[in-house]
Amino acid sequence: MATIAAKIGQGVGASAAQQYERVIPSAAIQSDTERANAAMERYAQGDESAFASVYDAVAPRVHAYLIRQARDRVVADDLLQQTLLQIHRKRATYVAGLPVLPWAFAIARRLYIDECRRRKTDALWSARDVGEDDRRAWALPDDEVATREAARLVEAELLRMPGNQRVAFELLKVDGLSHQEAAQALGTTVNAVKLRAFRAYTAIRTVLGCPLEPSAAGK
Amino acid sequence: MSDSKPPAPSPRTGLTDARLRARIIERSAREPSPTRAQFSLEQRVVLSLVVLVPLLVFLASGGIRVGPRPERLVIATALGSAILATGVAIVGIGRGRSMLGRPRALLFTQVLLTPAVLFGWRALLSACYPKMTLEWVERPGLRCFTLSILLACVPLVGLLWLRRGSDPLHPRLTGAAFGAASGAGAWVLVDLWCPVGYVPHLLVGHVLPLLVLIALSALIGSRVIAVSRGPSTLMER
Repeated sequence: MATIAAKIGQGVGASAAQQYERVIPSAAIQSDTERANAAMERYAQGDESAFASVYDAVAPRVHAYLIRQARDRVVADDLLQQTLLQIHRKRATYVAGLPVLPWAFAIARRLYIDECRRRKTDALWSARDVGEDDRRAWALPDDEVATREAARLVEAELLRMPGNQRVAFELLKVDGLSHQEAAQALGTTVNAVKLRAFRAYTAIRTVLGCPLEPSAAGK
Repeated sequence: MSDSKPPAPSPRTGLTDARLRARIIERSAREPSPTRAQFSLEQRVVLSLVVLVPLLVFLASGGIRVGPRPERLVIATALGSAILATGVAIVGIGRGRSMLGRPRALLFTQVLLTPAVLFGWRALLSACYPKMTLEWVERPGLRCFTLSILLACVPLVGLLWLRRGSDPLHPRLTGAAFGAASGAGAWVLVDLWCPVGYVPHLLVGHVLPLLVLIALSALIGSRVIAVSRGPSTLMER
């Protein structure tokens, strides 16, 4: 099972990013994407029952993203509902074959940003802890102490880094979006997404005590 | 600790509980939304109006007026600006291969280049013919300004209507692109209508309305095209 921790830490901080571990084999990502697109196409054509399939293909990943962003289960639930309802309202505009996931992520991100603006309490939000249930959603620690400490470091580093780097990193490494999909969801270029994620990756490796070697960093 | 992992569902499917799923599906079932076929009908009606209303306004304003212009100049300016306007419309209105519309850079380029290229084309061609860039004292450009706005407002409203509440990324820029597209369409008709090639007249009567439309549609777009949340049913539980 390839984990972000293993990739990032390569042994040193292997347990660290297990908090951010997501079990998304590439085949599952492919299957999710195709399933979402096919279900959305049926739903756009008027098959009401297809909404459940759209939900099943889209909601888990968008919900995980919203929980990480909002750090509040109730808010994430509400934003997920709003996101799915937006897709429901605009189903007629869906063009067959176009990817649904970046669309859903972009809507979720917009609604989250609007919610932050509406409340104007970003600082308060950041201070909130993610509930244990939510944590379990993305990973469960194998080694309590080391994992918690390293996870705390990673989490602190993610919170410290610029928002665009954090979101790009999470969309790629946690939500399993492709570079192209993440770029679409963020409304930017593939190269910009790669650069942001690389910077986040470098920062996390540094905080875990395994910085990239200069030759690797220069690549 | 791995023993405490929820057994059956994967971590991903375990994220959303059945109650939330049921509630969202039930909520969507209660709120009607048009299917593609229904929307397609609405789209056809709106797009017909977007094309027909400006043409009617144009004909009511007198239609094509050649004036002292050589016919070749009229045809060349109209044909060139029509081709440019078509390109502008394809870039500005089309979504490309994404549900999220064109990339920001492309829309930005479209918005910036449209007035410059259309103006350049008209001014350059007029300069190629003798006496075509002379001043017309009685035509400062106000009538062209008004006609441009009149011709473009229906297409603009139509486009904004069709794409309302649909852009989560850059609604302001999408709105501006709609303004540029509808303004470019109006430019073609005004080109056929207005024989004046005097540069200050072109700036006031032709370029300025295009800029006004871009600014106005960016402003409206940021409110109308943007994705916005509906009433919450979960937050207050």
